[in-house]
Amino acid sequence: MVRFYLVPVEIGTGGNTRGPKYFPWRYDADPPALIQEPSQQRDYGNEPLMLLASDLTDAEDATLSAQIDVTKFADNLDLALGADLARMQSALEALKLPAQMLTAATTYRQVIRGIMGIFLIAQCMQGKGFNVFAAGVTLSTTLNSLSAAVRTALTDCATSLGFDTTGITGASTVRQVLTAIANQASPSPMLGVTV
Amino acid sequence: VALPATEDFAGGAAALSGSWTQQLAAVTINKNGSGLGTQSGTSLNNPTAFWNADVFNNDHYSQIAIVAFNGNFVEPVVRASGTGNENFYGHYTNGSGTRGVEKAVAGTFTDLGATSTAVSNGDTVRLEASGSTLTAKLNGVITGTFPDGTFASGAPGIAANASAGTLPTFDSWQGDNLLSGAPSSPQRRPVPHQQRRAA
Repeated sequence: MVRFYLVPVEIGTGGNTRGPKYFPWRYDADPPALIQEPSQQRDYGNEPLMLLASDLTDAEDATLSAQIDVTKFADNLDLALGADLARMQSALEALKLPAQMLTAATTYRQVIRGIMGIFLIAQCMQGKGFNVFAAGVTLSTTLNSLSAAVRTALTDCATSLGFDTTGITGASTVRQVLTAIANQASPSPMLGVTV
Repeated sequence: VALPATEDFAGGAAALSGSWTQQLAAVTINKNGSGLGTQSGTSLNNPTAFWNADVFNNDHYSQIAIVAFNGNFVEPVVRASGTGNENFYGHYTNGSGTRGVEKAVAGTFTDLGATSTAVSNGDTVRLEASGSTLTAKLNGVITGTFPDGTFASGAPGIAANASAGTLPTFDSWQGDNLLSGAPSSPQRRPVPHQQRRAA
């Protein structure tokens, strides 16, 4: 079964290589990995975090989910968060992902889809040489506090990726921007599963 | 130059130049003097060259025929740009089970995941970029799709990585725009280089 996780980025050989912690990858510096399965991942731009999909057995899933720095999503993506809401919000906020908009009725699919949208923006920023979370920037930072170059890059990325920025102003916080992106994210596939 | 852009690596041993831009100065993608592509020498860096004689649409592909991995890596790259360090999406393979798609951003390589099928000498490896989706192909068959939004534009090209041992060789590189609504270019196993030259 293809399952979804948030896993830390691991730095590999050469010091200029990044891949998913606990999984095998090209520049993995410490094989054998904990999980011996192929994976597919999307990074949070320059942040040390990846959304990962992998076809794991129940035993492998249990092993991976037991890692303190791994956030697991439910196997059934259409389940509502329900009683898991507080855990999910706490985990996401600690990873610089806005989660205040989640409710008990939000499904895991909606959570992951929103993360995919946020990661897409972060990747675009990375490609332009910027980091959403440069030194001192938090989810509460307002856009006016960012440099003009970062604001321009953020606007360009949102526009080129088809996100509507109506209502976003200089007084908007990074949290509000990323929440707006998450709310507009389109379905997207990983390992053959469209989320 | 009319598309598709092609390279048969004919001519004397030298770094690809003219229609090609090398991203690194110290190690390059070369002609080996025997009609094949290779890299200039072993290196921990990833020599990369991209086609500069045409302007490509954002949605394009790069494909290369593997002659001999020799245990090292060859990868078609798309949306490559700039010099001084590596910037591209690449479909890496070494013929020994290590295969996948990665992005190089200012010389930092991030693994985007594994492809599904082992690659052998003689195979044609391809990478397509369309919107925010990368599609890896082996002999015309999709072996993985990888969404990423880092690079929106650039040019197709070639990268290699031989940190030790015998250098890899490759042939019949091609890069072109993806045609909207049209099927992908047909993929065939490459005619072995020596056979093609003798024909």
